[in-house]
Amino acid sequence: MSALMFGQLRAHLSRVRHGAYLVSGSHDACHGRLRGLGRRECWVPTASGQGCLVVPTRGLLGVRGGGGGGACDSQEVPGDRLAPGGGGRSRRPRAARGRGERGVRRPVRPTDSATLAFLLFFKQPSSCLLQGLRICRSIRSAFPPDLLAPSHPSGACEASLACSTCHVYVSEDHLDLLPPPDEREDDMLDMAPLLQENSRLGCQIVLTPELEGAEFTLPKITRNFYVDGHVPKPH
Amino acid sequence: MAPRCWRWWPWTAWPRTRPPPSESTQSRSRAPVGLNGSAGRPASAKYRSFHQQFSTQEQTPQICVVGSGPAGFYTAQHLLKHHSRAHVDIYEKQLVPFGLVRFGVAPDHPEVKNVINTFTRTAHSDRCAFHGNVVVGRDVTVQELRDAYHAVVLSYGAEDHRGLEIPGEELPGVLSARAFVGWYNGLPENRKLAPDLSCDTAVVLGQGNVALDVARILLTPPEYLEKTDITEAALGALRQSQVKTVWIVGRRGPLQVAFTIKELREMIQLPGTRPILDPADFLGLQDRIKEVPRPRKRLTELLLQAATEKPGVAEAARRASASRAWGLRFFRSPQQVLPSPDGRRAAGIRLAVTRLEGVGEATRAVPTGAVEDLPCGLVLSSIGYKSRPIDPSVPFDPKLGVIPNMEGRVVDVPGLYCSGWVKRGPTGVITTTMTDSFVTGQILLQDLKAGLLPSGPRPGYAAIKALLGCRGVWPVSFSDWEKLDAEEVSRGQGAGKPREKLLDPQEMLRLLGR
Repeated sequence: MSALMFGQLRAHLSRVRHGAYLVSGSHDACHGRLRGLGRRECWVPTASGQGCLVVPTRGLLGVRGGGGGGACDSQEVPGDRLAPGGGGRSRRPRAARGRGERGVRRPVRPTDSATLAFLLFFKQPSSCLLQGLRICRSIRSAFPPDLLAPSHPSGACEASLACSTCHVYVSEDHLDLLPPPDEREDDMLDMAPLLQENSRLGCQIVLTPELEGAEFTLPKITRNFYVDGHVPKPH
Repeated sequence: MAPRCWRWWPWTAWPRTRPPPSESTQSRSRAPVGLNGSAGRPASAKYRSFHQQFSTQEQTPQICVVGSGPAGFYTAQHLLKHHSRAHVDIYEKQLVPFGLVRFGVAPDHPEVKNVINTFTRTAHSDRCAFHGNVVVGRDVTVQELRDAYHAVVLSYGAEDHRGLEIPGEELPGVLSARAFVGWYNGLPENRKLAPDLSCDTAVVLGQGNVALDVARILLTPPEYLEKTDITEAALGALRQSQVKTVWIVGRRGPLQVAFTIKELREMIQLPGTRPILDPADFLGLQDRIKEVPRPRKRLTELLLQAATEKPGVAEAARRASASRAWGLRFFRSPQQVLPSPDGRRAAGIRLAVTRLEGVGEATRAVPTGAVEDLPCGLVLSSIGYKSRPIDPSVPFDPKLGVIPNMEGRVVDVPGLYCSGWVKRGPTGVITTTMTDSFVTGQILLQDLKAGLLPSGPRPGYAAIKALLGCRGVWPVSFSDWEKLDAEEVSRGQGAGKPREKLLDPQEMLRLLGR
């Protein structure tokens, strides 16, 4: 399913104008734009007009989920499987989904295998504003502030390697691209519930151009306590 | 529309402006809560549901949280986030909030205390209020809280320590690790502890993170603690301390240690100290850990490495020049504290040698009959905490030391919930408590939505304030705490510390102008 979703998005991105994206600056400057597939991207123009696009997709928080992501009817729990993205996403063919799911902003429905997908598309890696930005902060800035308000459970120790609340699963293809975890990160990961082979601490992941296409999934135990039933305000 | 019109136009008055049925919310004789949240009185049931139908959407659920540590604040945070109107009041018996984050986390672990920033933001919410200096169970009863609020969440933690229950426990020189931690962390009730650190050997009973914290604070060169928020009195005592060796004693083996790898690493690398680990304790362990889960495997591998591998040149030199030492002793269970010849203080501890029975988590230590005496002048027992019953009306399980509950709903008491250590038992780190508090919050909101909580408006803090006023109790608000906070920070600045904690409740009240 992740391949399907990524394929959709890649097709979509290929239609986008050059040099027009950015993202994850301050939320105030973010201009969402409804694209044909009912997907919104969050982008901020910079002076140089270059940069990167971070597209939070899918029903995690339903913020940008539209199009193929809108089905939200998968039930499987990531559990201890090694599948990236937590597996278990709906495999209904796109045609089977209702017309209404396209091009229309829908309220989010809680989903069991929500994936927080950051798909990074870099035009000019050297000038990318996201370079060096840690996953933890980029999660915050890519969503409306009321959703991931300062009281979000992730980052309880504010990125000082003293807790495991920012525990994420990294997509398999990109796991090896990350630098190996520090001993201290491994120590904290030991205490995280639902640990998997592809577990890392989000506060230690620094986004680089090589991570294009990476997907980061929140473990079920974090998501359920935060997002179930929560309906975000439209961006 | 105006309420006064209803007398003239009873049949046309809009339902939402009708006054609520005249039942007293202070009523003590509560009928069991019915399925739709009504008090089960048939006469008003129809009227109530009519009223409810039109006014539910305006109702603000009033929720009370008892305890302002991580459990209390995380529960409050969850409730505020997932209900757009709920109002949460947090009660705390100390004058200052944050519970064990402030009084339990070691001074040399300041990054763990960063959660205070999150809690502060929660407290600043306009739907959240903090009321310190209120002892629930003494100044106000749980029943009074249940009458004033729609739901009450008990998250007051575990303030007692498990006793050793061995002869000699009462001798001077035997302390609970909890009191020792409270002493160096500025808990007002432990400020006069004055532990005697003039002996050269200390024994810590228990092999959890608290035991390692206590050993580490005893052995860390005082200059490393100077820039932390340890109390000045404790720092002074530690500078004079003669303690050179600390034994951390557990009744089971290396595979059952309860501390975590981060704290173990810190001990191994502690400046000015060397570890004393007997390789004989670790024989055969390398094979046994092949199949265990990753956290236990990594921890045991680190222990093995520290016990059996020859250190590198630099590390060997560091250890050789170390003036202090710490060691782990396994398969030893305390039997008796031995007095000094004059009987006035502890001079040693008699340990029964044990062996293990059972497998996995159920592994137990049973005595073999042999004993060993270990001379020492200070015994710190760190074998676990336990909760206290807060109020006779709240069920309590004295054996487990928790409030009997199902997923956070207190058994047989509707509208009463619990979260944190008082719910699960006193183990786990802040993250565990966070997850657990979110579960309780979720359950509470589910019950609210399902109509299982009392309906109709509740007075909330307004009623409690009146009661407290009558009883001469003056609560401390969050902005009062912020004044104390600013005072602590400014006192610490002179010494280069993040804060110098205020220890005397009377002084704190004076600073607040009471």
